[in-house]
Amino acid sequence: MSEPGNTSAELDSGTRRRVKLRIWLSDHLRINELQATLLWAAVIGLLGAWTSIGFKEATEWLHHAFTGYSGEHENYTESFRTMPDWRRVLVPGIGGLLAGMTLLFGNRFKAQANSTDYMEAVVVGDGNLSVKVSLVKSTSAWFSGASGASIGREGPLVQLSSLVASIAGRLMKFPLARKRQLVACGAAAGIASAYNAPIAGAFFVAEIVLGSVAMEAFGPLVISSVIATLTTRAHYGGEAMYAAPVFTMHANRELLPYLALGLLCGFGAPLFLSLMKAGERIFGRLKLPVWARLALGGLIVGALAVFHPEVAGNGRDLVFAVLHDPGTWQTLAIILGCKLIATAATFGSGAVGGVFTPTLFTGAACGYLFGVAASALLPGWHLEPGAFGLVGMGAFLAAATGAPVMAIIMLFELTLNYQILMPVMLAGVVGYYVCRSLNPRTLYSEALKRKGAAAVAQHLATLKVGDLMLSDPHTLPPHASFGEVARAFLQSRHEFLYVASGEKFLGAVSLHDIKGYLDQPELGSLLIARDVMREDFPHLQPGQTMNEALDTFGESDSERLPVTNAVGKLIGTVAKTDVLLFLAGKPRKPA
Amino acid sequence: MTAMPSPVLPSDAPLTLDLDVSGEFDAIVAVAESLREHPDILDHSAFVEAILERQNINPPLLGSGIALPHARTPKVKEIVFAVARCAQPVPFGDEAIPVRLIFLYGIPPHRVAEHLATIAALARKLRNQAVVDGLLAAPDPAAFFTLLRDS
Repeated sequence: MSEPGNTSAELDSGTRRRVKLRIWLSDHLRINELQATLLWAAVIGLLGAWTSIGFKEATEWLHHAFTGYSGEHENYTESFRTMPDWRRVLVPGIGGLLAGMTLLFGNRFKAQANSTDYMEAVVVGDGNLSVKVSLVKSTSAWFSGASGASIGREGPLVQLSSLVASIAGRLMKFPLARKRQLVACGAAAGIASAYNAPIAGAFFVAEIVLGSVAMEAFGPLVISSVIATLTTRAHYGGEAMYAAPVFTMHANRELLPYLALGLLCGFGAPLFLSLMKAGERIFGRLKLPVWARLALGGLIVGALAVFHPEVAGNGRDLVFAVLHDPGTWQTLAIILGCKLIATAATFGSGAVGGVFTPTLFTGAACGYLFGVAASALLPGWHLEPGAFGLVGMGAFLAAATGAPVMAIIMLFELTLNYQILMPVMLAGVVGYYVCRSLNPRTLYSEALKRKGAAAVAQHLATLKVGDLMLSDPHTLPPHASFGEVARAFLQSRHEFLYVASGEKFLGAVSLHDIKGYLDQPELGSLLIARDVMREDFPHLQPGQTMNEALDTFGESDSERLPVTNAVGKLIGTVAKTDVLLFLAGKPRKPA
Repeated sequence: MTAMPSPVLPSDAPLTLDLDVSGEFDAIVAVAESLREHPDILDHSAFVEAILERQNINPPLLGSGIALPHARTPKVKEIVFAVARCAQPVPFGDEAIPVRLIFLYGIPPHRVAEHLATIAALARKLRNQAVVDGLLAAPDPAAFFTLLRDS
């Protein structure tokens, strides 16, 4: 780190001024690894949003190519309505076939192609997502989604933006904890840009993926969510995804039917999950190759679309219809039934994607139907079935995903309807508890289980200091002059510079020890690094646990600590931020 | 400036005026010898070794013919100082820089802040050529220390 060509041991005045500025900055701004993580979170937010925009555009293009639909926006109900019957059957069938072929050629999936894939990236693991796996799955999801399969798109969106984050983390050679954090940021960016929902994006990942809202982990998620949303809005505009008519509560007693709706959703969500699993079982029994299975799934959706074109696609148009123009309750009930069958067929066939939007529609339709029934039973209460649609959406989402905070916020962000928030909170929390007591598994815990999340958690629980270590720390030779020490601080963000002879760790020079003496150029010829270093500087061993590391950090005022091996050789450094990120984002131990 | 106030150097530090040696090694050994009985030095020969070792790396020299040989060593319990004024300039280091004033000290390893404060305060005083000239002309130890303290 010392500059070999620089023989002048003394500090010139320009260098002194720059070192003083550096000290002022470090005293007043306290720049540390965490702020650097925030910066990266912003970059990931931007990249994630563009990935999502790219995927959406590509899906829209393919949808047009498949259906010949020429409308302004992707609208599966409209595009399927304009097609003749044979084409309604064929398009999802061909889409399924192509999606299945994609999985087949990405041959690694032969073994796991059977598994329903709600969301791959839910398992952040060690922050290294496979590029090949992610691209194959996203391409398959692209074919499925664009051909009208009854499936959500957040799966590939999250997958791709997480992949971008993972690649960035690997390129920058970040330690494990920071790579995990970045991938989580990518997932948050994906959700935020998919639903135009920055708060829910951050909470989704915090609640479901990391299981923690500790500020160390949550702050970066917020940053990337916000940046991703702003980027998406710049491209698509800022309206709420499901702008709904404004509902008002007239009396507090209206909360009672909402409470009942919450209970209903709590009972309904496990049934919904069982239906998805039943679809999987039935397709599993057919013992078809993967391409045939996905094609069959597509054909089933297509066959339903002959009678009810509304079942095609992720269900976004349907949710919109429930909120604005639901039609008769009888028609809605039939469409709900068909949509559930279509969704079960799509998931059962092993199509890749998300279950989010189908869940929203199921909740909205159930809520609306409940609202119709309630207003018939209580005519004097002036209940609005549309409001029940909104509340049902939130409560069902809370129950099915097991993430009530995210669901409540998501509903608010999707509809931007503040009035509805209180009933949604009530119904969402009730639905969550009822569902939990009936069935401890959620949409995502199924996926987590299959992806070996337990093994990942176990592996992470045993991680040691050495696993979070950054190798090749910059060091000063013990003979570096005082001037060289000061210049080295200019090139480093750290408050302490390590002194090592050969590879042996000797101590650390503190910027704060030397900062008072930088206006004395004559010290350059009197002192060397060895004269002013702290010899008793705390250091870590690679085999120590994270909790031991945290204790050592507690005794030191340093943002990072050196790691030495048994013979005192300096092998790397560990940042306090990484330890905190790791402890904050550590997956819960499997029960 | 956050340098802690420092007495610069204790007025009871041994002072040799008109030290008559011809080389760097002899000068250091001679000045260190004046600390032989010092109660804060645990091992005198190791202390001298440490100073000579540090001297080999890069002899700490201030302009105007002043050397500050020193060692950070656990062989001393407290900061110890010895001062000498050479009768004629003694060549120090590879470049044979002529030295007239020698401020030799040892300091325990954990006293980093004190070390910096002490050496910085001393260097600040000796930056003034008038002070250096005064020290070179001081007739006796009392005058020497008074000048150092009051300048």
